[in-house]
Parts: sequence; structure tokens; C-alpha cells
Amino acid sequence: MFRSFIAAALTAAASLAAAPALAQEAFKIGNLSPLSGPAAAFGIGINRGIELAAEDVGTFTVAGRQYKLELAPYDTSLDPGKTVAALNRAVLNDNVKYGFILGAAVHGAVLPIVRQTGFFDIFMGAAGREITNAENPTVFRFMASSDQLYYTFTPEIYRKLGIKRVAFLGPNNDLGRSDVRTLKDVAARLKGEGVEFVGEELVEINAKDFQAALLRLLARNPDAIDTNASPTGTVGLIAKQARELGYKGHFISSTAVLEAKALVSIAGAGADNIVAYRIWSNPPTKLYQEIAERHEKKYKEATLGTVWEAYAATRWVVEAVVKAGSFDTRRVAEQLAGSTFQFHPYGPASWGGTKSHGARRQIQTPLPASIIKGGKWEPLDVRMGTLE
Amino acid sequence: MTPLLLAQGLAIGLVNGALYILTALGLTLIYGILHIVNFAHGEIYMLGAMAVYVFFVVLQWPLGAALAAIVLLAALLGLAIERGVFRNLRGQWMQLLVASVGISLIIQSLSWIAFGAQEKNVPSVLPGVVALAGVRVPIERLAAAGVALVLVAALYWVVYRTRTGLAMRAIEEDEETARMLGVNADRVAAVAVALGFILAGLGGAFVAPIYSLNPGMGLEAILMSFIIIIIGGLGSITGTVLAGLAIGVLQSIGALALGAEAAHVLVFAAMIAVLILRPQGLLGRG
Repeated sequence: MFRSFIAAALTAAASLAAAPALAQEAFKIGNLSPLSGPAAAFGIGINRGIELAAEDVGTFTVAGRQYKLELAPYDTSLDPGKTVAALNRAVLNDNVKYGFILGAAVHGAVLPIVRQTGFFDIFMGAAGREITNAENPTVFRFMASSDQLYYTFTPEIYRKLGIKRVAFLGPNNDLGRSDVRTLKDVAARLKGEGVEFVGEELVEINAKDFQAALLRLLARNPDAIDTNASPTGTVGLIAKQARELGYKGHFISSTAVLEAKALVSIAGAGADNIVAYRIWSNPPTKLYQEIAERHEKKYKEATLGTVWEAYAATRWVVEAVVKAGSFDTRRVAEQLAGSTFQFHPYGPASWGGTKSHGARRQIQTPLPASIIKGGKWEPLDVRMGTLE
Repeated sequence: MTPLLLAQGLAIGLVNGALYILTALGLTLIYGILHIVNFAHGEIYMLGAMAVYVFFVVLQWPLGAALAAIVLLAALLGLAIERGVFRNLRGQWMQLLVASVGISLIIQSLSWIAFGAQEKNVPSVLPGVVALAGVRVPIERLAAAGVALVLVAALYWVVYRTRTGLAMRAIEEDEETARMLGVNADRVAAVAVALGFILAGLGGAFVAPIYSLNPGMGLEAILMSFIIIIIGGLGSITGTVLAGLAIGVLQSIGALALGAEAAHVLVFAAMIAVLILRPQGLLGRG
């Protein structure tokens, strides 16, 4: 009896050992993002977006073989050096050919490697054509670019809120410098409407005390302080400290997905009149709401701002891989650039940027603007234009 | 620059300087008495801030109880690290330095696991602003600056007016002679480290409502603390006070006149100038 039990157990174990040969292979999607530090919520949100997409994608077939999505996270702390190290590890050591890379500020360092290796960069970050262009065919920006928002949205916001004097406070990195250049250009274009760029302060990316920088800016009486390129925690501290110095105007953050709860927790009532462009006060689609509910059930907290875009990006890339019938990143890039996508939580998605960036690598989706009133996001009724 | 703007800049600088003193005081004490460059200081500061979050925000203890718990825990941690690490390496400055870096990394790594990556916030206990002749200072910063001054006074009292302080100065001067005269150097060193850890923990606790918190926040704090104690003179309490205030004012007036990034450069330039012209610091002993 005991012998037959052992034999049966050994047979079962042998069958289990043989099973992986028949199972799906892993299609690894990397997430090279800050998973620690002030911008960690962005990276953690991407992890979760990939995980939720993986649940919906299930298994898929490429060239007759079955695959299943697998998340490969790498913490970059939004540091260019760490991101380069993570990318090298992903490509050379872990055989990861596709991945999210978060942050325009780290892209100056990683783009040469992306070009050389053909890594498929699912880019989540701001800035403009310096990242998504014809020289970087495997880089697709899956969120709004700074120039897209500044040129197509900002003028309408200024008109709506009666903003004439604009200042910028952001990090002294590639993104901050790029954004302030674009903002100055937008203000110059609106000069005829009385808009004036009155001052800029670029600070260390990990700075937490902005009082001195704010004092210098506030001396120029801005109606709005643009805080683009800064994460939620930093925007909250800027708002809090500016209010303490008596500032009553608006704060505008175009590209970062800010969390109202965190902003209010830091700045209290001072968070009122923070404007952000990518915040949906009301769910735009049924899918958006479903993802939010699944996220809250699975992770026991409110949906992090990058979850929806990471979900859509993952599903769209997998769809392109399947249609291309190959994992060759350049073939998939061609396939993706010519496609549209119906399962984006924000609404129908397509690619733009042919004229402005020189390549169809900039996502176009419906986007809202919202403003904090009484500690909650409220819709701001403005319409965004299209990036050609 | 208008007089009002200048006055506001000075007020910001002095209050921020007091916060720097709050952060650097414990580092000065441990170096001054034991000549240990304690790289773990920033992590104790971070733990103090995180402890306020846990006790006061998550567990909703009264603030007084939270602060008492921080004092107790910081002291116990200080005693444990002194007994387990510092005492075994006493007199070997390089080994002590490397050990403190190791402790710092261990605490930080464990904190990322324990507290997670999301920024934490401690709501302001003293919201609002004091406005005097147009100069505005947030009450919570003013209170933290006041705490800094009280802690400086308390530290002076301990070091210069108590028998323990006398023993601390004795072992700082000449440990062997102090031992021969009956000073229990091990006990005094343990007290000094515990006090240094308490100061670091309280520094983090009082700064917590002003900024947002994460397990990496100690790095920024220790960088500024090192700048201050180098300029003030390693181990000099008075030097730390003067350098803290001077750096605070230099930063704010510099930012007002030249911009925030230029002010950042000014601080490092001031440190390098002091290192070249007076390597022992403003009030350090040559």
C-alpha cells in the first residue's frame, strides 16, 4: 500500500515537473520607474496597471506559441544613473525587450541605449519632441506631452480663469527646463491677450522647502504658478508654503497626475485652486470606473493616477504584438503607430505628432481639466485641442 | 528688493536656520564628545518623523504621548547601537565611520519595507500664520524654531552644568585620564549617544508636520547637517547654532537676490570657503 502511494506520488510529481514544457511562455514587460521616493506613486501605479491588464489579457498567441504577461519591476528612483543601470539589467541580463520607462528627466540618459538595443520604450513622461521623434522609432509616449497640453490646453485655461501673469516653479532637470521653455513660448504667443511670463525658479528635484524661491516669485505678483514636472507631494508642499506667504492665486500642473487627497492632506484648504489637466472628476467611460473599482478591491486604496494609462498601454502593446505576429520591436512599433485603440479608459485612442514631433508616437485621447474646490476635484469646463 | 521683502527673507532664513539647528544638534553632540561621524543620524531623524506619523496619525495617540515614546525609543536605540557597535570600535575612526554608514543603510532599507514608498503627511498641529508688520511666519515653523532653541539651551545645561556633562567633556578632552580619575567612560559615552539619538528623533518629529515624509528623507537632512557642523566647527554647539542661522539666512537672501539654484550653490561655496580659510570651522578648535 505504502509503495503504491509512493509510486503514485512520484508519477504525479514527474507529471508536474514535465508540465512547464506545455505551459505558456512569459512575455515580460518591464517597469523602469520610481518605486521609492517622492514620485513612487507613479511607478507603483504603473505596476498595478500592468497587473490589471495582465488579468484581462490572459494568454495570447504569437507565431503559434502561447504567452502570458509577466511584470518585471525595476526601481529607478527617477534617477538617470539608476535608470540606465536598470535598462542595462533588463535588456542584457533579464531579456526584457519591452518596458515602461517613467520620466522625461531620465530619458536623456537612456535614449542612446534604447536606440542601440531597439528596446520598446513605453514612455510615461512629459516634455515634447526631444523624446518622441523619428530618431527614436521604438519610443511611444502613452500620456499627454507637455507641449501637447501647453499648446492645446493652457490658453483655454488662462482665458477661463482670467490668468494674465504666469510664473514657473519646478525641478532643475531636463523636464523642468524643457517645460519652462515651452511655457514661455505659450505666454509669448498669448501676449496679445495680455498674458505675461513673470518669473521662473528651478530647484533641486528632492527639495521640500520652497519658501525662499516662492518669495522671489510672489514679489512679481503672479496669477498662476505653473508647477508642472513635480509630483503630488511636491505640489502639495509648494501650495502649502505659498499660501503661508499670502499667495491667493492658482497653481497649474499639466502633466503630473495629482492625488487630491494627498494634496489636501499636505496643504489643507491651501490646495483649493490647484488646477490639473489629466484628472477626471467624473469617470469618462465604464471601463475607467471598472478599473477604479477593481483597483480598490485588489489593492485596498484609491486608484493611483497612472493606473489607467498603464493598463491601456499594456493592452495596446500586446494587441500590436499579436497583430504583428512577432516580438521584433521595430515591427511592433510600425504596427502600433498605424493602429487605434478602443479599450482606453479615457476613450478612443490614436496616435498624433506627425507634424509637431516628426513621428506618430504621441498618444491622443480625450483629456479633462479639473480644479480643487473644497478639497475635491471639480471639472473645469474647457476643451483640449489636437496635437498635429 | 523692498525692505518688506528683505525682512520676510530674513524671517524665513532665521526660522529655517533654527530648523537646521534642530536637525544638526545630535550630530554635533556625538561628534563633539566621542569623535564619531554618525552617518546614521539622518536615519534616526527620519525614524523620529515616521514615528510621529505612526503614533500620532495612524494610532491617534495624543501628541505628548507620541513625543514621549519617540524620546524613549530613540534613547533605547542609541544605547543599543552604542553598546553593540560604537563601543567595540571606539578610537577606530574609519571603522566607526563605515559602521555608521552600514547602520544608516540597514535602517533605511528596513524603513522602505516597513513604511512603503508613498509619501506620508502629518497634519499641522498649529496651523496658521503669524503676521507682524507684513512679515508672515507659519506658526508650526515658529514653534519648531522655538523647540530648537529650547533644545540648544537644554544641551548647554547638560554639557556645561551637570556632572554628566563634566564627564562628557572630560572624556572628550582625554579619555584615559578621565578613566583614571574615576569617570565611567562607557556609561558617559552611552548617555552621549542616547542624547544624540533623542535630539535627532525629536528633530524629525518636530519637522514632520512641515514637510512630507519618506524613508529617504534622512539623506537630505544629514547633508545639510554636515554642512552646518563643518562650517560651525565640528563638535561646537555654539558653532552649530551660528552656522545654522547663517546658512538659513544665506539661503533665503541668496534665493531672493539670485534665485533658488544660485542660493544652493552659495551654501556649498560657503562651506568650501570655510574649509580653505578656517578648516576647523568658525568655532572649532584647531
